[in-house]
Amino acid sequence: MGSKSAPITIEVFEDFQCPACRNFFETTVKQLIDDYVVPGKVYLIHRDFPLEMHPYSRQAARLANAAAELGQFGTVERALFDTQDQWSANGKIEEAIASTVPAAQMKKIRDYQAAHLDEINAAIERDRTIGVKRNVSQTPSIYVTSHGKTEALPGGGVDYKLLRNYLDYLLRQ
Amino acid sequence: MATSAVVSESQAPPRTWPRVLLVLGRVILGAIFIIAAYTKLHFNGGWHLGDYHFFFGMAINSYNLLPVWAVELLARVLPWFELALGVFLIIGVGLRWSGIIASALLLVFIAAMTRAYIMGLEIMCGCFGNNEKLGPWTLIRDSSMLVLALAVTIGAFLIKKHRVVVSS
Repeated sequence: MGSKSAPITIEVFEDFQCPACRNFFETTVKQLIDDYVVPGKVYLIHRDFPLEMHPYSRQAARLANAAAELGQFGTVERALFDTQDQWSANGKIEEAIASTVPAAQMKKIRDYQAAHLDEINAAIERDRTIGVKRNVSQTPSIYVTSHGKTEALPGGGVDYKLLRNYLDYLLRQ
Repeated sequence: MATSAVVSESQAPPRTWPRVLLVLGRVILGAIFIIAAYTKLHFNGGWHLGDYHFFFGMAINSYNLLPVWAVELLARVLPWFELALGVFLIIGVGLRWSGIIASALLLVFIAAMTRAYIMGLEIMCGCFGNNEKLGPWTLIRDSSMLVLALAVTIGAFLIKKHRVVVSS
């Protein structure tokens, strides 16, 4: 999400069913997108890291990946986190996000997913492998790359004000 | 009678093992504090003398205990405070005071960690570096450090008292 030529790249390893990821998305990512991604200061990469303890997180990740291929990742990501409580209880993801994602769009995403299921699964697995190599043990796990150097932030989510201070510091370098 | 008892104690050969134990205890405790400071300043494969406080601040903030300004202040100060405390403990200067401060500091850490653990917060401990998960092990380890700090403090007071009695 954002410009690939941005001076800072942030990778977030997330599990759509993880409450800490939802909290991080609601309190930090939304503002980060408005203040840093949209102005071209940060290139934000979502990486799937579905945890085994969450039975529907892979299903949600597949949906988000299909949406990404259709340029709808932002909408679906927001819808997944906003309705996490609903679909986490019964696994009815499409039903839960129907209020946010229009039916026609949902059909396109569903069709794309059905036609490219192997590629989507492979993409999720690729992200997971990257996470495992980086010793990701919890979600969200955040990595910030700037001036050719990648730093792992303390796991479990970061307060927006503290992240903002750090990003401003990096931008001043 | 009391005076003669003190005199006879002062004439007895001084026992060295309590002093050896105290030196050993304070050196171990001091080294632990220095390591704790080092891991907050050197992580992700390099020194972070200019930006350590951002990372450590994020770890402190995850405890949801302090306002952001206090988090930022603590993140800047604590690693250097731990370093100084470690050096004081190893040198043995003002040992009773450094023992008391180390014990109090550990008590505060353990209280914060226990609260977070009971609340089910899945956070980083922030004790040795910024990427160590808070859990039973970190609580046991810090509690053991508190026991050591208390032993050093009590030992420092007892030896001081013994010196006073002998010199009088």
